[in-house]
Amino acid sequence: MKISTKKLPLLALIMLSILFAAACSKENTKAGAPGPHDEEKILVHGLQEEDFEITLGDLKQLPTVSKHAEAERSNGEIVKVDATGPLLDAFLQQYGKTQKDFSRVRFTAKDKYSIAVPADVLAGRQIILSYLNKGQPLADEMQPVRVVIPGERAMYWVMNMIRMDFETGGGQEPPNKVVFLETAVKNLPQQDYEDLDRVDQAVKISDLIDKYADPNDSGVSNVFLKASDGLQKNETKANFLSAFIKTSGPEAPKFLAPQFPQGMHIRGLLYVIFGHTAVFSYNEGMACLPKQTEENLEGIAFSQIFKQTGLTGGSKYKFTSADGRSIQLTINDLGSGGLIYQNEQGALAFTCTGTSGRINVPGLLSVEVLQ
Amino acid sequence: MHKRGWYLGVCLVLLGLVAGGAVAGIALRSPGHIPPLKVTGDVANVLTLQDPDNLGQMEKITFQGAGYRAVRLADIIAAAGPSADAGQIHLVGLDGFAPAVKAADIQDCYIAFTAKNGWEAVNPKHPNSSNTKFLTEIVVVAEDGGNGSSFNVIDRETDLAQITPGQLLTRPLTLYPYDEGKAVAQKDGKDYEVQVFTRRRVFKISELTPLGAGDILLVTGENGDQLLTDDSGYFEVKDNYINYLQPDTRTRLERVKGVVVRPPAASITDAYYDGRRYLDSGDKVLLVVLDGLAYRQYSYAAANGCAPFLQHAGQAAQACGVFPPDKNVALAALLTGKAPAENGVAAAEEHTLKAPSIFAEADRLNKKALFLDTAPTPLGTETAPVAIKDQNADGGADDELHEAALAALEQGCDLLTLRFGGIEDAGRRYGPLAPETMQAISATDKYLSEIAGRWPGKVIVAGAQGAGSGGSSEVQESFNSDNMFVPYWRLK
Repeated sequence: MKISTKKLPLLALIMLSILFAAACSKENTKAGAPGPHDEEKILVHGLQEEDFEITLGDLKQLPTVSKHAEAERSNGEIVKVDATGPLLDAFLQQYGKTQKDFSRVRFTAKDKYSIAVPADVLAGRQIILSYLNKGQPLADEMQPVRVVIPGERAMYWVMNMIRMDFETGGGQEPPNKVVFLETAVKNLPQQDYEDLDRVDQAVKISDLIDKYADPNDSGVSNVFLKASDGLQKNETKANFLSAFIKTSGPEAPKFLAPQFPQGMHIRGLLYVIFGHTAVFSYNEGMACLPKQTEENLEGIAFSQIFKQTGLTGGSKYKFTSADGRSIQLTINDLGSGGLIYQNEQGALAFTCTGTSGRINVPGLLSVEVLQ
Repeated sequence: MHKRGWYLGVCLVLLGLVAGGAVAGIALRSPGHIPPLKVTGDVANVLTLQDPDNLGQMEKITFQGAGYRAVRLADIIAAAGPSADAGQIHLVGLDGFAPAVKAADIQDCYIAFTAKNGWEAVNPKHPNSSNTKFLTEIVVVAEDGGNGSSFNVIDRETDLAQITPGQLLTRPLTLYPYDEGKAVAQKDGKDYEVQVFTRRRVFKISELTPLGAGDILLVTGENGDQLLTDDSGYFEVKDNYINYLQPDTRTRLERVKGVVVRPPAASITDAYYDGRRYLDSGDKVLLVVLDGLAYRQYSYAAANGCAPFLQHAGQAAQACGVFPPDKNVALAALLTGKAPAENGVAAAEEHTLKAPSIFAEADRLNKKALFLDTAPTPLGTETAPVAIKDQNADGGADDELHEAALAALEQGCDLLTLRFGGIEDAGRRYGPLAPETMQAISATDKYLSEIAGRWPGKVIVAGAQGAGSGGSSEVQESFNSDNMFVPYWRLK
């Protein structure tokens, strides 16, 4: 077949257009579709007792969201993405956690760039572990995952992410001392407090902290509170110190204040962490924690206190009684751990059997980690 | 063949010319980096302008002997959409130089981009000092209260301050270095750290209204977030809205609508907690919701003898309401004990609860619950509301609700919830303090007297904000002391 030379320019133009269109058009990749980077691993630290690895393929099994996000760079340039991937919360849900359970999450890239996403961002933003942008797989230098946090600056948008570190405790050191509420309040002035149409007894939290912790600890900005029904809350230091703990009557121990709406009150308070000091309610612990029996005594295993409050582990502990006497015990003295229980007089006590034989601490007020 | 080759050659040359011309054109016209120019303040859309050719319709103007390709300032302001009647336009330069021109006089004002002066205001008819060079921000400033876009500070009695983001941007503000976090890069086995700060334009509430030592603030967001705090935090003016920041605790609340100074401890959400503990204690609970009744409105009614039963049954607590002040938003907060941002109902058109309500508690305790509702668009509560209709066509269903409640009393139940709508209807139609609205309050008071008198348990009565309670049909305008508080009673 002979093509007329007059039609050659037209033919060339059509072919160019076809080539151009073919080069420009890319079909959108379906979320969750397999890809060459699916086996790339991401290390997860701080979520379970042991570190573990997940793959991009694992993340692709989770429900995805697609969101347009923009972030401003310092030169005013706007970075725009249409990110698709699972939410960090969807990943955490598999482990019974949410973003809000952590004080910081650090994302690390392959080139060792890392940034810690702070609590306020975790509390208020969705975090997308994106593997598609504008419907296309990420560029190789961003694989396997790019963290996208709509509404936050691009410094948090870690590409090439290969590690996630989950941190709790407000970035503060874990407590090294636990004070038992039931014993502590006996040494504090109590006052009538009207709540739930009746008058009960309450202590001022400022009195409690004055006596058993350092109210001027500049490292304390937030105070962590946990209730026996699982409610967890951070309260500002100022709000916390202005409040009361109701120690008798319904819902006690109860965190409350006349100036707070009832929605801020916390009934069945299990423990509070104020800086390096935890204040723990034995009675509430007995209501919600597994009980342990030792020598016909029923109570709470000492190890539960560690587990609940995150108390620093150590090799030497100082147990102090309500009368001010104290005893130092090594880890060997504790034997299998020991038991906190309520004795026949209704006072708290501690007992353990270790290398030094059986040891009893009556009127247990506090335990401090010395080493 | 020779001819074909000639055609092909011509095509390639033409293609090359077009491509080369395009590249050369871009290279010649591009002035290099163009800094962003932002349009902020009292506007609906914050604009970030970086491409002079995409500003709008270009005009060629001559000013002081120089030619400019420029866009009318009025077109840019129109694109940003002033959120209120603009009073002034501030033209802020890189060095902080910021002349303000009257918004009414900008017909002949232009914005141009030049290689010499960057973004530049060109105002041929204004004094020369209005021609800001290296312009970085155009701030639109509302003439008055801001027509609903304002930031409001109130206490129990009065509206203490009302100011718009644009007006705030023209006041003295502190540049606060907000700690964004620490980034680390590891190179050659060494950690290189950078602590990142962003400079935020902030102010404190005490700069707007005097505060006493230890005064508490209830910060309320546009989407119904609530945060009880003190004056240690900052309020950031961010383009066209306000954020709350507490750097020490890293607490942040975005898009703040207003602040209640020294708020009452009682809250509309107390109904949930009081109801829950009454049920826990084995009491029967009658929960009455009075749509559209605000605290000040009730006080007026009581002072004028329109609510004798409520007035003598017990002291009405002044309770904090929620934002936005809509009857369904208020009801959701009342039934769940959670602020709108937490319970899922933060706007009039939302009806799906994301937090368990008092009905879930009743169910947990195996208590019989009944919810009689006059509203046409009920919430999706665990106990489905029974819709009460205006069967006698007298303009409201409160009389039918009264009858249905008395019938329910005969059947017996542990949690009876009644939602009256007559006060809201009258308030919306005639005004919150109108005689017709007072009549509606009086009629509801009479119904309540009979029902509560026969109820064998605890009684909770709560006002729920609505369009009829605050003196304004514009929800946006309603963060004020008239509409942010409701009356609350626990009887028996």
